[in-house]
Amino acid sequence: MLKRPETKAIYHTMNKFVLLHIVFAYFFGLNPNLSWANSLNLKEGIKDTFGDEVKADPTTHKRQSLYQYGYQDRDHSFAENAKTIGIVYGMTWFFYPIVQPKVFRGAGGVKQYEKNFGKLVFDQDEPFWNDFVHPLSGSQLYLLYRADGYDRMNAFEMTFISSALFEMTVEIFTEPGSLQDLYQTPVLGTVLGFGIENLSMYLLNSGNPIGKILGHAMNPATLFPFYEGRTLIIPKIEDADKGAMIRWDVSF
Amino acid sequence: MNTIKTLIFFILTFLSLESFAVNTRFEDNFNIKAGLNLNRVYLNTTLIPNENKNEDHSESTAVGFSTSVGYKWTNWEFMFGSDVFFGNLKDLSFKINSNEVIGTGHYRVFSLSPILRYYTPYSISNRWNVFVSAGPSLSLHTFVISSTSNGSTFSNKKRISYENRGGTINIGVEEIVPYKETHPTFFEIGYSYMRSRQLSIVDASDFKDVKTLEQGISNDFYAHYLILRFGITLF
Repeated sequence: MLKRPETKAIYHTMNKFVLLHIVFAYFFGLNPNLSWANSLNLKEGIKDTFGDEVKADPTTHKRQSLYQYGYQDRDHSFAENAKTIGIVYGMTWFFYPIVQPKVFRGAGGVKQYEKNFGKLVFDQDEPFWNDFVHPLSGSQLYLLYRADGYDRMNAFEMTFISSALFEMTVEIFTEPGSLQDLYQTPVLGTVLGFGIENLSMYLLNSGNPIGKILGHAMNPATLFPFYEGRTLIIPKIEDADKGAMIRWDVSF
Repeated sequence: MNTIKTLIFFILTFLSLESFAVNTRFEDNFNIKAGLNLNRVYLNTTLIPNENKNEDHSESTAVGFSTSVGYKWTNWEFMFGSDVFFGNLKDLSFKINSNEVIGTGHYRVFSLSPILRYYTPYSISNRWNVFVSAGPSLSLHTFVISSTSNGSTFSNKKRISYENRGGTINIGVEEIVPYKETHPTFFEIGYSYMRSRQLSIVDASDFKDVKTLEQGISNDFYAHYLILRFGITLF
């Protein structure tokens, strides 16, 4: 029974996020033609060892994970930072009207934009937005940059720049920039993202299919083609040269 | 003026696109801290005492979370810190236009402070470094009145919101560790004072689009906060 308008609004908003997740998952992960690696790419000789069927460790009896998930931090050039910021900024212009359909109903406009440009105020939004939705979107931005090889502090820095650009140049189409959002989105978003990062890595490396689904669901950036932290460990079993090889796929 | 401020903001933003070097040292580096806070809040309005309470203030306990982002040198640290906390309200008087509203409900506070922290040469058991910090504060104090007690009417969909300015001073201890990746713990006790600058009455009937009904200058409200913060440096 959804009687209260607040409850309806929460469900309405959550449904949008679910839809966006599905779109992202299709384009970047679930569609094998767009995914950059899957077990079908393995050579014939090792398919038996690393096929899709679940393997159990003979000693611990725990499921073994085909891939190991983690983060590979690297340096980024100024041009690369600017390009990434530009792409994310372009996406915010695309997605803003979708999550704020009042824009299509005539809210905002050029005059409103001029009036709000450079303004920074305390917003009066409910805690659901300021303490949950904005930090949640900030956490996903943080995880996006982490997936692209930024270390934690640089991922925070990039999140701050992206959210500040959104707050001061996109959202002012309908409302002035908000002090709470300017701070909470990157800072609380990074704190939340740090927790999601650790929990999702634990779930993704658990070897449990449900854990893997949950890990990807809470950290969908691990499904993107540019995610640099998925490794495949292939043991070498020749007597002459025993060892292990780590395959690390990186795309730029 | 706003345009110039915005241009300066963008110039600084783009200059910061040059990534900082990867550095795991605690000193000469940025850090992010997060934790919980417990507050004892002494609320005052010019309308207290009221008919039902022969007191000059209303006290309340509130809980919430704290975050900060800062840059630490050897003994000094500059940070932006924020506290968000929630508490219950009992029989507090407000003057809305010419009407007096005495209400019971709850409140929430968001505060943001640029803070300068000094790490003293003193330590406890060679493990906890004593620090002191201070800075100005901005805050938003929002009251939600669920029931009124003096016969007045005030919708529980409306919010009474004060924008405040003030300051904060703190003293605390932080765990001595060589690297911030070992997540040093800190405990801090602080005092903040806030006085209202602006009062807004807002309508939150539409959850997605809160509307400001009235706005005006107000010095009616002030509050003292005793805050206990505890948390860790995340990275």
